[in-house]
Amino acid sequence: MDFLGVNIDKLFNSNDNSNPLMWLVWIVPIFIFMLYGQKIQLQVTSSEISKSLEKLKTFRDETRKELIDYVKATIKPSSDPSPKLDRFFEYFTIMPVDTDPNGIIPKIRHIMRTREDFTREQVKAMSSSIDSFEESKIVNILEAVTTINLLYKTVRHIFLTAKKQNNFPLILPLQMMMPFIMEEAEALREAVTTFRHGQPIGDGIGPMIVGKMMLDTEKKPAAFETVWSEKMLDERKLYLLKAEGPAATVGRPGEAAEALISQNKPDMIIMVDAALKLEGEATGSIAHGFGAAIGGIGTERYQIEEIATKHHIPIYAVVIKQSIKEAITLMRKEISDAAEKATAQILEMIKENTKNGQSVLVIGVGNTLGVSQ
Amino acid sequence: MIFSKKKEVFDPYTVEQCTSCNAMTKRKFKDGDFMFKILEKCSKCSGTVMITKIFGELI
Repeated sequence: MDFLGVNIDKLFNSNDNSNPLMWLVWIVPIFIFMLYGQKIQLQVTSSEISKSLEKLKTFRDETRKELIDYVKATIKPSSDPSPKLDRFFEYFTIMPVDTDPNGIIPKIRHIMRTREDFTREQVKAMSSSIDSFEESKIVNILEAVTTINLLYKTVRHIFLTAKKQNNFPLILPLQMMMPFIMEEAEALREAVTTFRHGQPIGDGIGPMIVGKMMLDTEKKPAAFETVWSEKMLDERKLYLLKAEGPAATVGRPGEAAEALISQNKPDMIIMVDAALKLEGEATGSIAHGFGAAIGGIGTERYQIEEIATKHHIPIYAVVIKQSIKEAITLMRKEISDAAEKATAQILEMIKENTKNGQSVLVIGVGNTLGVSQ
Repeated sequence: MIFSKKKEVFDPYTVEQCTSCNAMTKRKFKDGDFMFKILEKCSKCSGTVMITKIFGELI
């Protein structure tokens, strides 16, 4: 080849190792990457994280606006709710000292209840005409926006610290965690719309199954925002327990179960809940297991485990698999369709594991938004 | 891109079912719908119609 009088074959003569230009072509990049490789990688990673951070900021701003607009449109507060709501987004919770030898569960419960009660009261104070359904929806949207805000601030903090200190190792774990953080943020953003419309979410499958079993029974209060009822099944007594729908609440299943178990001493406890699926598992698939199927910070689970252990009552778990996004957004058809199959399996489980005259406590665990009883 | 994901959009639907004749109708979700809400009488048998399902379907 001869372009414009330069012989390319000669210039980059691959057969001649002594060609100095060829040496430069190979050696210079090696030195550049040896000396500046980490910085180049930091730049590439930084630009990726920066894009995600921008996306997080957009999510935060969009959901904040959606909440403010929703509050203004539904409860019509006397003054602008924006400053008050902006203050809520910045609230934090300080967990109790975890080296306490006397047990920290009651302290965690106390702190979490304080936060919940305070938020609820503050939302109620915005308008005298607000009903409990709207109030629960606003509280849930507020939680979602606060979480997105926290995610944004945490990612921004690590990112800016890494850039400031030119600290490449610090940015690596952030790069690894970003897909998970973005998945959660996207799910929360979508959840805001679902909460606004009062539509059932994937996590509501437990209350949906137990709620259907509760139809045509007398519903009695069991604890705050929690109801229970009795039903007979093949000479076995069923105590059915769930959060009071269709409000956006998980109720207080721990407290309610403690009271019901102490009073009625059932022979078996079945907990129905949504569970996170592993990648590759089908959405809406049902799995059985043992132990208290209940998420959250752990206080409710502790309470149920304690009382069940005290009375030697076996706890069985029936879970409906779904992803984190499916759990907090509009209930997918596959999850909804799993309800009938799961109910049949629960009834079969009761008949197989109890005798005539015995009793069973069935708890539908999860957020009962859009699911009555 | 090999790993780029297509955005999934779900449309909310409500399923109404008559508790007597089990006649089922599927329609778009309306604000105010919730599971096990009792609606008007069934047009076929004048039984009670109830919302039995609310779910999102992929468009």
